[in-house]
Amino acid sequence: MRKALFLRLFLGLAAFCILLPAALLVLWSAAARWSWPNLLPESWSGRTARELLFGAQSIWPLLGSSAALGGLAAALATLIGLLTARAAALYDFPGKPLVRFAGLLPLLIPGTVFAVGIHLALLRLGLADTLAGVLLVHVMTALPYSIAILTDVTAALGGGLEEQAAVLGAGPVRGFFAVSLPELTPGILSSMSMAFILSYSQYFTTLIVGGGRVRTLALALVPYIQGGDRSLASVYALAFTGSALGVFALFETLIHRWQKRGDRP
Amino acid sequence: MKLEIEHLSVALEGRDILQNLSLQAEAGELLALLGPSGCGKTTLLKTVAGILAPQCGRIRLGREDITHLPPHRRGVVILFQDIRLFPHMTAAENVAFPLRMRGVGRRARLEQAAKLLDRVRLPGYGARRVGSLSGGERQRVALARALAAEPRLLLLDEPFSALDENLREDMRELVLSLHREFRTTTVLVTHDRGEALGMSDRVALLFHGEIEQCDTPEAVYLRPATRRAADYFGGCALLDGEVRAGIFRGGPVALPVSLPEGRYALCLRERMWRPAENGPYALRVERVRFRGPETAVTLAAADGTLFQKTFPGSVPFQEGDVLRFDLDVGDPVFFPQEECL
Repeated sequence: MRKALFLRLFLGLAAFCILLPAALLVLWSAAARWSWPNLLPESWSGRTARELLFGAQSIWPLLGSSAALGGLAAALATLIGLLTARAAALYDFPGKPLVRFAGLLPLLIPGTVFAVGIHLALLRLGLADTLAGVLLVHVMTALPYSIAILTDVTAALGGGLEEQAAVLGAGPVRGFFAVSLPELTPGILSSMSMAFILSYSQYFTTLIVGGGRVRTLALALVPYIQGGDRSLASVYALAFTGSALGVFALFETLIHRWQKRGDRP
Repeated sequence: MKLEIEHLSVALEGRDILQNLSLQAEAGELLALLGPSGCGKTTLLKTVAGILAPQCGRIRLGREDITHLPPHRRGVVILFQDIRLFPHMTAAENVAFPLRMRGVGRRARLEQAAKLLDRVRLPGYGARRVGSLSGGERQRVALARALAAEPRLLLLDEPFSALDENLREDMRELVLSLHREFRTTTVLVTHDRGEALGMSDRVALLFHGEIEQCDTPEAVYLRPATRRAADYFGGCALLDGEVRAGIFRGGPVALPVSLPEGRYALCLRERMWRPAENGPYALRVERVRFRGPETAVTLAAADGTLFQKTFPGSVPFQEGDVLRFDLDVGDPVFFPQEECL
């Protein structure tokens, strides 16, 4: 009983902290006039929605580029993460602790320092102000998380099923795809969703490394927030959180479906 | 197919697990690999299957040298102790897996899987999820899957240890009947002495990475090659003594032998003591422990040496009585004693 009460209190508090600001965003984005001390806006308008959907900075190309960049970064980070995780979890080699530590390095360095430093490196490589450069940086940002998630699930699964598949006649690649991959799928989806969200919400690194040429939703959002138009800022913020949440929900549903699949009689 | 292992050495993480091990299993034979846990049994199986690479030595199957063949090309299947069914597949898909790897069409392989499931007494279990099977059922699905691969050599890694005692006997019978039917050369790893003796054509004793003895179950049990082997099987008391002028003397026992002089231990089995009215040995009953079908009796010789003997049912004597025995050692087994012991 006490546990249930605490849970309810916690959930209530969490809802208050998340839903109230979100509701404010909805109100602001549709408000034409909202002056102090009114509790609700005095008049409503569809101006911001029109601006969002059809304006000079309409959301569609931004959504497209952000999602494409996020998807690509998620796929790459997960692929590299999976290979690293297998090396760390299933094999022994000299310098293994060093590799594990190196995988976490991007987490330890402050984001701004990382962005400026990597920008210098990319300038030398000729990758600054390019999509490839931004993609590379997003992958690097997501990698520590992907490696951590995938190392855990790979270590939990172990190499046992692949050993069994091998003695039953499956070559190494086939064995991995036939018996390990289905078991790793929830972890892979978690890693992809994490990497996607990280890439999707990158602002500073995209700005510095992309040099303004690579446009993403997060990049477009910030000037609105810094500018004076609260309504416009609200509608873009809603579009950003809404789309991110949508992708997150999609991955969660996929993971859930996949795990339930094993229970069917 | 005949398995020949020659001078095999395996080290894991810098530690020697197997040293210069040689062993053979004849074609169609069921060889039990018996030894205490940690002696390298599982390492040997994994090396034969190709999961571990040996430091040196050779493994041959039939006429083929398979030492450097990858595991999926060896035709050697391990049935692991922890069963390792593929959790996302049904029972039939698990059994059909080796056929799928060989490119057999879906329908043909599922048909074959159903037949094999029948054979391990799981008819109609094909569509069942692995998670819904009991331990014994999983073990049988794994057995059917191993057979589906039509292995040239089947390696069973303690396949019964995870099962309840009553299921274990069933599984042993099933494995034996399948072995009689398919005649697949089989190596059964176990630490259960009774299982090794009762199931196999020959028993190989493995201690600390080396084969101590490899012979028929009767020979391994009755004529242990070393003191360690005798100790491991139990069922005999080792009586330390000395041979002088053709007579072995140890404790109360004196036997004429044809051994060079020196210190020996005599392997003395309890059935060698025969109760006899006028027997030369007078043993005092130290302890009587009734256990239902039998009674365990501890007997003491005049010099204090203790012997164990079990009698069927209850016994007509009690602690403190003195009984007379004959000693019939038949063809006695002696172990020379090393100086330092």
